[in-house]
Order: sequence, then C-alpha cells, then structure tokens
Amino acid sequence: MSSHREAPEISKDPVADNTDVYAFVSPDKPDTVTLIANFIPFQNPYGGPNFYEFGDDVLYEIHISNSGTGRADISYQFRFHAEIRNKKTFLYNTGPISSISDQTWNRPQYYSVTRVEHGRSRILARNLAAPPVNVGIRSTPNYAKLAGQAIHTIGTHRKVFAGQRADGFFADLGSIFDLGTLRPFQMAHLIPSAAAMGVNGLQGSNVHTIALQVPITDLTRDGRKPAGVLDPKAVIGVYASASRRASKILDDVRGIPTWHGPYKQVSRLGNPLFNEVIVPMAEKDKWNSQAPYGDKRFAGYVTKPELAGLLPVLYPGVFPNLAAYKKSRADLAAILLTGIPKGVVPGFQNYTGPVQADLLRLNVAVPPAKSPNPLGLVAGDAAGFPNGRRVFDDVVTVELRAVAGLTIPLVDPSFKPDAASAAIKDGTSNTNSDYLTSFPYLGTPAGGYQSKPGTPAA
Amino acid sequence: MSDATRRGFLVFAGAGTAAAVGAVAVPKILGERPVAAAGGDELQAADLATAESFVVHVKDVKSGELAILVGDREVLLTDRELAARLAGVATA
Repeated sequence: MSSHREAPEISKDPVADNTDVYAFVSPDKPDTVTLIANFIPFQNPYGGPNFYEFGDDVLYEIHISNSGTGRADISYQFRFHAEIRNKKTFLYNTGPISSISDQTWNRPQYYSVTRVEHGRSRILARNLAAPPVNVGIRSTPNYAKLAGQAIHTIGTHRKVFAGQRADGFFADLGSIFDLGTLRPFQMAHLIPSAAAMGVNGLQGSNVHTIALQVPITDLTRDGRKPAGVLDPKAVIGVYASASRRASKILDDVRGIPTWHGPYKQVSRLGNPLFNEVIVPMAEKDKWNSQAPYGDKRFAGYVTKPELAGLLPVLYPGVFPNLAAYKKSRADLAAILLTGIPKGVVPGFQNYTGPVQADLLRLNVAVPPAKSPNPLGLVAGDAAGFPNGRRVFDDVVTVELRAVAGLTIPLVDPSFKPDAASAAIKDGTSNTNSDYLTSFPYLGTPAGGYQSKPGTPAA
Repeated sequence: MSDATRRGFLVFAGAGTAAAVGAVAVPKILGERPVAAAGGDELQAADLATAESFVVHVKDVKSGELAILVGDREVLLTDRELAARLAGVATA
C-alpha cells in the first residue's frame, strides 16, 4: 500500500516498485504544480552497507495526459548513474558527508531529466546530484541541510529533487492484511476483538522520491493558465511508471549483466490503491505492464469492486444498504477512471473525457486550500484527493468510505449510505517525520543510527 | 535446453549462420533488405554487425516469430526456418 509491493512480480523488484504518486498545486507557489513519484518501499533506515539508491538500469517517468485520450502527452524521464569514488573500500562513506560533493561519499549517484512531448525529447538537465541516504549522526550530520543541497533549479521556475525521504503514506498494514481488520472497528469484525488504535505500518520506513515542480503552463493542453475550474483544459491526468530493458543477460565472463532492447514498463501508478485492491492478483502484473488508456478492460473491477462485497461479510450487519446495492458503481468509475464531470459536485470537475484510464486527475485551477482537510473532496476540500493528491491526504480513509458507499449518492441520489460508511477508517496518521511546507514536501528520512528496530510479536 | 535442441543449436551455430547472442552472419538473419523496427525506423545489417552484442528472441518457434534486441531497439521479423533450426526441429 498504497502501491507498495502491490503485485507479485514487482514485489520482487523493489528498485522499480512505484509506491505512491502525488500531484497538487504547490501551496507556497500556486502558479506551479508539484509532481511526486516514490519508489523502493519499506526501506530500513539502517539497511547498509549498500544503502538504497535508484536503479541505474531503470527508466523512471512521470507522465501527463492533457488531451483526454488517456495517453501520455508529456513525459518527464529520469535516468540515474551511480559512481564509486574509492574502489578499494567496502564503505558507503569514508568520513562525514557534509556536502553532496564531499569525496567522503563513496557512492554518489547522478541523474538526468528529459522532457518528452508528443515524441520529441529535450534534455532539461544532466549530472544532477542525488543526496546520500540518511546514514546517521556521524556520517550525515545535519541531513536536512545536506538534502537541501540536492534541490536543483532547472531554468528559473522549475525545481527537481531525487533522493531518500520519509514515507509520507500511512496505513495499518498489519491489520488490513489480516482479513480486512480495521482496529477502531474490530469489535464489529467477523472475528471480533476489542477496538484499538490504528498502527501505522509505514512507521520508520523511508522511500526514494522523485519530485518535480513546474509551472502550470508547462502541463496544460494549450500551455496557458485555465480560465477557471470548469474549463475542460484545467484538468490534467498524472501517472508514474518504471521500466526495464527487454532483455537482461547474465554474463559470467564479464561479471556484470548486459541489457538489450527497448524499455518495457514494469510498474505504474495513478490513483492510490488501484492495482492494490481493485485489480485481481492474477491480473496485477499485466496491469503494471499496460498504459492507462487501455484500462477499459479493468473497468469491471471498478464498477463491481471485490472490497465492496467483502465489507458486509467481514462486518456482519454493519453495511446492509451496501450489501443490497446491486447497481454498477458509477461513482467509483467517475472518481478513478474518467474524473468527476461538472454538475456532480457544485463548482467542481476533474473530468478528462469518456476514455477510461487510471489517472490521478488534477484540476489545476483549484487553488490550494487555506485550511486543508486530509479527507479532501469528500470533506469539501476540492484541493485534495481525488482532485490530485497532496502528501498529507488520508487516501486510505477516503477510498474506504467511497468503496463502502459514501459516494454513491453523487450519481444515485436514491441510495442511502450506511452510517458506518461515513465513519470507517483504519485509525492511522503520519507518524514519520513531519511533512515539509515547501518543496519537496515529504519529510526528512529516518536516520540509520537514530532508528531502532521494531517490536516483534508472535 | 534438451539434448535434441542443444544439438540442433550447436550444429546451427557451428555453421556460422547465427547464435542467440553475439556476432552473426547478418544477412542470414535480416536478408538483404532492411527490416522495419517496432518504432518505425529501419534496422540495417550494419546495425548488427557493429553492435557489441545483441539478442535474438525466438518468440514463437512454430510461427517463426523472432525479435532482435539490439541497443535500445526491438525488431520483429518472421523466419520459420531460422526459428526451427535454432530449436533443432524440422520445419513443417
């Protein structure tokens, strides 16, 4: 979750595993959009001596679809290469790293940024330095300052960062994966126990983040600021992907693998939890290899979601109205596959047309909220999920409530949601570093020395 | 790889016409004409001759569907006889 280890194949390839995607109008620079894609889930902060880094053999991309086709009209590509400064040591660093250019960092990594628009590529920057991971107080003192040196400006109005961050996603993984238990409501579970507080399963975990901040006009269909929220050109669709070369040959003479052929997509992510809880296990790997414009083939899993059928079974008597609802879930299809047309939520739309595609849709004409609500649009905050996604949005609760039927009345006023659909939650919040108020918005990663192992129990 | 297919492959490779990875007599794979790549550009015989290495993927032995992976390109072609010889089986 939200897309950590969500499919059988990608769970064995963490360097290419896209865990979360965020897209929002930057609260401190409202003429810009911030796009974030996270990779490499469940990083143990003290996982050395070969600490986490981006894959030199992976093509990372953040895509924008602004034409209503569900296809990528603009793609930002990120290609990495790591170096070894001192080939005679096993150490990640040979002394304190106070600057990202310090020679004591033995394994620096650099990257390029390429923008592809309608097939035409333009390299925006090369040899940008990623920061080291947060090793500990001796190796990476003042980590926040060190990471800040890895925020690069491209031109005058664009920023990019690629490196380790605290995982900002939060969910009670241990509970949810144990037969759909929500600890605050587990007294009503089929196998009941006393209600309890949620436990953030991502606590103490880091991820690797690619964050990009660009002017709104870089992303819209006509290169202009939209006239208003109801302007169809105000909506962009966002997804991220990771791709690997078609063939990897393990050569015992050369001692290193050789790669041949074009890049093939192995991971993608638009809306949180789509592949995780909508797509059946047998099709998850296939879904990861496909582009969003073909998602019509998965639409049946959205309009008749397995989870909506499980909730009344796992929580007997709690969701009678949901259990009795047999119509196609047009509310979920709108939220996840087409965007919400105008007229459904007064004064709002993020509709990209009839093409069904799992895209994180952002209406860039909605200004940042002065008092953001992590429950986003369902709580009246149109600047939040599912209008894009901010780092602090509680997407687990929002999607749980939507699947439980809270959003059905948007398209079917005759339906009366069960009382529980407005209350269910997993009971978690961010327990990692605080989110930042400025780019790249995700918090300082947990340090290896500073972090303590978890508490095993059987 | 079974003994039968290994034998077939070795005989085939020994004849100097092709190997799954490495230098090959290019015209035997591509023919004399360039082959259209998936991206629309054309793969010339020289593209393979100058490559340090490349991969030939027999996608379907029966139909002879092959993919040549060279650099960051993938070129599809159909050659039932070549696929069959690599697999060490007789063509129908």
